[in-house]
Amino acid sequence: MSTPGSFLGGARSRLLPASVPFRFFIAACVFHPLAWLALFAGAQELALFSGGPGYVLASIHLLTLGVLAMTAMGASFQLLPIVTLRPLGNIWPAIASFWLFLPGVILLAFGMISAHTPYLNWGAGLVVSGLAFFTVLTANNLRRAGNLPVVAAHGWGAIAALIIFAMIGALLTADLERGFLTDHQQLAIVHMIVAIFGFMGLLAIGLSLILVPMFALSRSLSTFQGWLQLMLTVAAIVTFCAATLMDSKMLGVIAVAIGFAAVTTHFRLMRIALTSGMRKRLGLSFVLVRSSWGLLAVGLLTGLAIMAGFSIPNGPALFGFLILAGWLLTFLTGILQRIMPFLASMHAAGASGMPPMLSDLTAKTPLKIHAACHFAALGLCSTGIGLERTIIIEFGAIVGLIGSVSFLVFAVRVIYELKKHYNPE
Amino acid sequence: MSDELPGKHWHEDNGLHIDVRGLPPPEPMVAILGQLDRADQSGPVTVHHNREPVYLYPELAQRGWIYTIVPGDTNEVRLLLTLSTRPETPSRV
Repeated sequence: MSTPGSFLGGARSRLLPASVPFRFFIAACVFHPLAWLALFAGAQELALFSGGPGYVLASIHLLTLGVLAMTAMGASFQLLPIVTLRPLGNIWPAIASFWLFLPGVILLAFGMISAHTPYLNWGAGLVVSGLAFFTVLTANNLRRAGNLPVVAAHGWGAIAALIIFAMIGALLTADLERGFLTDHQQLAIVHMIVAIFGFMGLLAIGLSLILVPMFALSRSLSTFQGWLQLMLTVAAIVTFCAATLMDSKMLGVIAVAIGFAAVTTHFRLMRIALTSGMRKRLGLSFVLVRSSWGLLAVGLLTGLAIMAGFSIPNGPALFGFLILAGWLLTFLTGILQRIMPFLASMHAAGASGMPPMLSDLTAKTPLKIHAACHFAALGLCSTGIGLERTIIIEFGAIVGLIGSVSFLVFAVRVIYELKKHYNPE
Repeated sequence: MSDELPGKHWHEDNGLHIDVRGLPPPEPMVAILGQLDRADQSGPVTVHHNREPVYLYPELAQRGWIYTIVPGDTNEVRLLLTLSTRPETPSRV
């Protein structure tokens, strides 16, 4: 990568106040158990879920918007100015985006559970407004970035996906009341694919190009391979959306095949970072991160099998669960448990020259409980979906709920330690 | 190991110097921590950087190193790293 400056060398002017990213992280950690709770309530609908209001739709949005997007927003506000070497500018739009997005997600989830249109409309409006602030702020930062073009390009791709999925989401919400779409489900699939793989996926694989080498202490990764993973991912998403809209199975198979090529390129880059890095013992967080990559591959294989016409019991629901909870949630909790203590220590550093140690900020027991419960929940819910057994899904959701509460305990402990050590200059 | 590390390093009377200016991310961190993790490294170490390396601080703390920002050249952030005497034994990661 041809960067003149240094990612690690963020001047303090580019460091946001700790309260900005951490409010997003804590909110995400609160939405996490709520998502499992909604899944428990909707366990009966999960295996045969094909869209429409209810607990499952609410659970999906509590997870995607409440946990995944909330974390992505907080992490982007904190990390992008340091990656791009440009300050964020004003902080108030970041705070405004939070205070619009937070009630928006709550209202939207209530609207989905109760099928109450005013809640849905207000919720969607607030969510889109919050995302609009995030988009403008992030785009403004990326626009002024002269370095790390590969990471910035992933950011641009994620922004484009965000605009598309937010517009489609608003259309789908309006359609629930007025019923003007000829094929609601078809557009809902496009909305889901663009949101998951376009917005969240591009942010995840783009920021991984920086975060994984940083955690593994490896040299910077190949720019060519970085561009290749981006182009293949975008090609896979566009092809899949075209396949859905044209109702073409053949195009769908091609899209998943391109997706596999993108994932293979990403895995190769990550393997280089992990094998060449100076730090070999990456702890529990990377057990989750590595597992998430495996679950992404399994999810795509499931998608390919569905597209190719193989009979997978409740395949679409299984695919969605493996990608959302298996890949993205596992990846995110792995990264979050790494960056929260890291950022807390960084913010608490002050002028003392002796910030608190990462080990002092990390409560290990809650993280072990979370990991055990998370993997058990993934196994139970996947089995429950495949066997179409509500009781197994309910049990899995309860186990997931216990794990997510444990993760919240870890996050609260980080905040407590940060407050204890924080000494602003 | 140190020969494979990015950046420039040399020894002066006041200890090891590491120059990481102009390196792409995350190579400054790799260069600095790679030198600090050497078994014989007890400091002091002077780091020549072009920005304040805030992301490095948690890693330094974990290894028991204290940083002080000292005067440097124009457009340079210079850090003096010394081993901590804090009571806990910091774990090398």
